[in-house]
Parts: sequence; C-alpha cells; structure tokens
Amino acid sequence: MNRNDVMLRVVARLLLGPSIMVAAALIVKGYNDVGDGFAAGMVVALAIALCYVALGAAGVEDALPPLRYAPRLAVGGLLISLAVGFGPLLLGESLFTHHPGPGQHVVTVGSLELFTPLLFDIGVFMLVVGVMTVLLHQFADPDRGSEDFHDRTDEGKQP
Amino acid sequence: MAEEYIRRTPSAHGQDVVTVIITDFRGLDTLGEITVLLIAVVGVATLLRKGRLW
Repeated sequence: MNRNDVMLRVVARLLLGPSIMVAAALIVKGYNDVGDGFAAGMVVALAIALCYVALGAAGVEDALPPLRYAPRLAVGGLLISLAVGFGPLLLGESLFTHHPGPGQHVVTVGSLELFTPLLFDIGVFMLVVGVMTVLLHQFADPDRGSEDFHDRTDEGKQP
Repeated sequence: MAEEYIRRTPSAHGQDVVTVIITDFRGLDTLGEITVLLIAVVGVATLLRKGRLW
C-alpha cells in the first residue's frame, strides 16, 4: 500500500463530513423512507475505515482524537437501546412499548419524528460506529500496547 | 404475517415497513443482534490485546 497516495488521502478526509451528513439524513427520514440506524452507522464507519486505509492507524488517531472514545460510544449506544427496550418494564408495560403509542400525536421537526424508536435508532447508530472503529483499531495495530505481554514471555525463557 | 406488518405500519407512525419492523415490531431481535456485535468486539479484543478495547 502506497501511503503517499495523495488522491486517496484527500478523498478520505473530504468524505468524513458528507458521510456524517448522509448518516444524519438516513436517521431523520428513516421512518418515512429507506434507511435506519444500522445503515447510518455503516456509512460513517466506512468513511472512518477509508481514513484508516489512507492515513494508517496512528495517523488517523492523531488527526481525529475523538476516535479514542469509540468503546464508550459503543457501550453507551447499547445502554441507550437497552433502556429504550427494557425501560417500559419499569412502568408496568410490556417490552419495547414505544411512546407515543398508536393513534397518539407525535411531535415532528420537519420529517424528524420525536418518539422512542428514534432514540433506539440513535443507540444502534452509536453502537455500530463504535464497534466498527474499535475493530479497525484492533486489526490495524494489534501489537501496540502488548509490550508487557512480550516482557512476560521473555522472563519465562530465562532460567 | 407479512400483510399484517404492512397493515400495522401506519399505526407505528411510519411509512417505511423495514425500519418499523427493525425498531418497533421486532425490536427485541435488533437488541439481541447489537448485543452480539458488542460481544464479538470484546472477543476480538480478548484475543488480540488481552481485553483492552482501546
């Protein structure tokens, strides 16, 4: 892989912003048109993956420091989804009872409907982005941070 | 079953059947799937980096 590929690096950097916009559009219009949290998460994750290919793991993580919150993003997304799914149990309703219920009025901002399935979708989006980023980080640079492991095996060899 | 999902989609405040099924009608399945995703990542981290996620 030629790391000096200028075209690839420029495109990778330029694609990040539009990918987040496309993801936001997929979530906003998800309930009236094609698209949901999974698709939106994968769009952003693919843009991040292109950055990893173009800049290398160390380069991307220097250029985008917020990437190191990816594990928290993934766990936070799962917790949001769990809360939406199991929260109604605390209120004495059945699992995945969404509010407002059928026939009730939903507050809308443009085509964005504000109801609990939207929160669930955002949780799925956060989890997919976080999971894909952590996987890229793990596969791109698996040796960094495992020095103490090698130290221990070296110690074992000594008499 | 399929016709029933399509018939009930408007009552979930949506027009896209796929999204409504994923997040609403079959929401528990989606929750299970994303839990599997996170467990897979923890497995990769355990194999490659002694369980450190970052």
